[in-house]
Amino acid sequence: MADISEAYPPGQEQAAPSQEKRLLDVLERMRNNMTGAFAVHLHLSELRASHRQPHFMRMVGRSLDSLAAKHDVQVFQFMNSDVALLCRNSPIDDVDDAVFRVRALFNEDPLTMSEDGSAEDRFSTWYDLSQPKDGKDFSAAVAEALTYREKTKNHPIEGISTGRSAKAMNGNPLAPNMLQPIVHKLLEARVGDLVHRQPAVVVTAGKSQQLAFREHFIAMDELRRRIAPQINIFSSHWLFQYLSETIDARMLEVLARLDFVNMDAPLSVNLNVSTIMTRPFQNFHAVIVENTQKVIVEIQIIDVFADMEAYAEVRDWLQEHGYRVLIDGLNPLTLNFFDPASLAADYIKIMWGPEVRGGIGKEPTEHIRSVVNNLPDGSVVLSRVDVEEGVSWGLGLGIRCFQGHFIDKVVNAMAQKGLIS
Amino acid sequence: MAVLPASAPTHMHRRTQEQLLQEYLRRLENRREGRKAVRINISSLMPANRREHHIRAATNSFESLVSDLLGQLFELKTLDLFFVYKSEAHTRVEDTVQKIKFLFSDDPLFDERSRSDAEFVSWYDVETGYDELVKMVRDMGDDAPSENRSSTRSNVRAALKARQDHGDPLTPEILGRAVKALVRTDLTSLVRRQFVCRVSKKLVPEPLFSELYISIMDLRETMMPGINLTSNRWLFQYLTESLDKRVLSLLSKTDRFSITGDISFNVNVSTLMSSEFMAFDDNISAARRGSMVLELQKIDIFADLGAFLFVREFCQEKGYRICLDGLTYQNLSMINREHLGVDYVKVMWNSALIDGGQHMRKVLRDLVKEAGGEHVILAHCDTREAVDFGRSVGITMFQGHYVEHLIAEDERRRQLLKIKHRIERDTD
Repeated sequence: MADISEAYPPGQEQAAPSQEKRLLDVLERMRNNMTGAFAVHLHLSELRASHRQPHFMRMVGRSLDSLAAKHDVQVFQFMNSDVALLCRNSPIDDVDDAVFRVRALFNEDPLTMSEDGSAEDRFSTWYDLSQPKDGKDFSAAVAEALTYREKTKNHPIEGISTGRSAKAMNGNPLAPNMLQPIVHKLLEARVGDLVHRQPAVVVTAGKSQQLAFREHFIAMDELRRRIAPQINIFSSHWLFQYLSETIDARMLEVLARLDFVNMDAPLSVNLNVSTIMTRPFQNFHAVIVENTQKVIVEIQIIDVFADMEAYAEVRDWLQEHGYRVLIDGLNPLTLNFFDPASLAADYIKIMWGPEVRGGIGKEPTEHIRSVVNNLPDGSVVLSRVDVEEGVSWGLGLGIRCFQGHFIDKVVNAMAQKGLIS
Repeated sequence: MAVLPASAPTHMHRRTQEQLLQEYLRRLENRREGRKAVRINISSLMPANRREHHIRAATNSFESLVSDLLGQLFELKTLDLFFVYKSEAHTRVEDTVQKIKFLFSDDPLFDERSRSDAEFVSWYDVETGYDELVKMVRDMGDDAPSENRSSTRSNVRAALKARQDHGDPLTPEILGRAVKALVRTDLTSLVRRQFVCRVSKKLVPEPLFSELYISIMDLRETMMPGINLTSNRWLFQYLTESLDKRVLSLLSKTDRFSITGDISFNVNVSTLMSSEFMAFDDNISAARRGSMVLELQKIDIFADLGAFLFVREFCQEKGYRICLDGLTYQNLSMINREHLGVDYVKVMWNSALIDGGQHMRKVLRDLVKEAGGEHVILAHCDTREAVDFGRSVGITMFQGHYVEHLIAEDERRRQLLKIKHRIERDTD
């Protein structure tokens, strides 16, 4: 986490007491006069990691500003992302409104899916500080947050590695003038050893498994260490996309050297739409022209949205020449906003995530079922399946193809038994 | 003689300027003495120089002559201007034409002095050349208006594209320089404004809000001549993040930049999460937020849907409205406006929509209905065809050159009506 310091409100020096400590001090001073005092603890630390980034938290702080300006309300933002409101005689409705506004910001987060105000509301806890027990509980909760802060001081938290969330990574942010040197290094660096493979398997009726394809990808963290260790190449979504065009070219070079004739299962590779019409891809095509049916081209949904016509053109070209097309980058959340059936791809890849772990029968899950039913049988791949639960969840919805750490283990076990080469 | 026939006002906005000019000349048949005409061939300029604001400026420079009842101006669909006037105003007209030439003086047309005058300006004597003039105008009117218009339009586009293709591609180095230079450049003069209007059955435009944007063509001419800014989508997208911040600072300085009415402007999701936006938001009143529409690009919101949903909630809660920009009709069929929670979706007009025939019409009508007719804006409407088509599928809001033209025409009609009433009052 590069800029966790931003979780502090602006102007606060490193040396100044932490928000948690300050709140404990205030509580201590108030101890003899708790009349009309109450507190609300917002458990933002339980949001998904991508929602806990500093810029999100900054905006949470801002949306509480007006409440603090109008009433006797103090806002404390903790290191663990939690927020505490300390109020005295402030109208409950106003405080409630403000809490609701913050909650609404995270409408898509599983944390807010519990019933507002109900007993099992995981989003917020209210404390009536005039009651000694509530007072003690609240202090304990704050103390716990303080412990967390002290612990993380020594062990920085690991970053997240997808999409814009990856901004949390170390290094100087990528700027336009850094691109050319990085591209040069990309063109010269050895990348063959950075190409990893991850299998996707089809689970059929008798629960027997069969290899569907192997995704080939370059481990970005390793690549970054090799070409630009001081730079956070994910800091700008757009500039990273620019680099990815060169990464595509290198990847294709590596793939062209594979033995397609004796390949037991197709391979898949993530490429930009724009790459398909370039020379590196056409060179690749010339090499593997007899074996195009063994290649699945994965295209990111954002690339599709950027230019539908270009996508349609590329998709048609690929399919006409024997390739298959897979749309990557979907998750249960995105499925709520558009229907992938219209993309006419051969496969759709959906990332399994915590938001759907609620189980089958919940409304979002039902929506996924209808999306899956709308697509040709076997065309949906569930990725990021790291535990067996993901497979049963997917099977329950009619998904039969899976990918992820759990599947890696399954495939390894199969290989050891000689069921798969 | 600026007043049009009394029967005209309620109908005139339905007729083309060519038809009006024809009618006007016919009325002059017995009163052609002492009248002259001039045609300004805007269409002979390089496409990039036919900028809307220059054309507007050119049109405006005839205003005083028109209000002094010395002549009548027609804007032809080729963008050419045709001014018929009383010969006593000839010197003033010459001055005006000179001023207009100056507006476009950086066009290559004016590199060769001798060539330019004849190609850019044609003078006519109505008295002696009446028949010839009538014939010429009739020929203009004979062209099917929409076809002709769209073919000029596509020529313009093709020319622009050709020029873009020949421009140097935007490289990371140039981008780096551009981003640095942007901070120092005053963009005030590059801000353009285009209205989103509700357009009635009678083609009367009712402005709802105006989009403020930086003309990318002009920006390129000013800062990086010869560079094709949009050649790489990702680098361009990065550039827009810098532009966003400049626009925000322009909008904050209302003393230098007076804006009236509801406005919209383009921003990236990342910009809405930046400290620059927070500072902007701090400086404007709650009421002003309610008059602002934030336009987000589809590519941007799908890059990180989670971030989009978050800022959408944050901004809508503060009173801003959100418009999802840059959709094609295919996109419209894929997304669900209500789920995305955006107030408007902006669909780009494309003449291919008409080629889709009745089937396409039906598909679109259903899509518009699903999104809610009052939430869909048809943009890039360069022709009446676009507006007619949009209306036929249930769209009520429009934006584009044609809509700008309707606004200008509507303004002129009002002015003419006012003058007419004044004359009637005076003569009564």
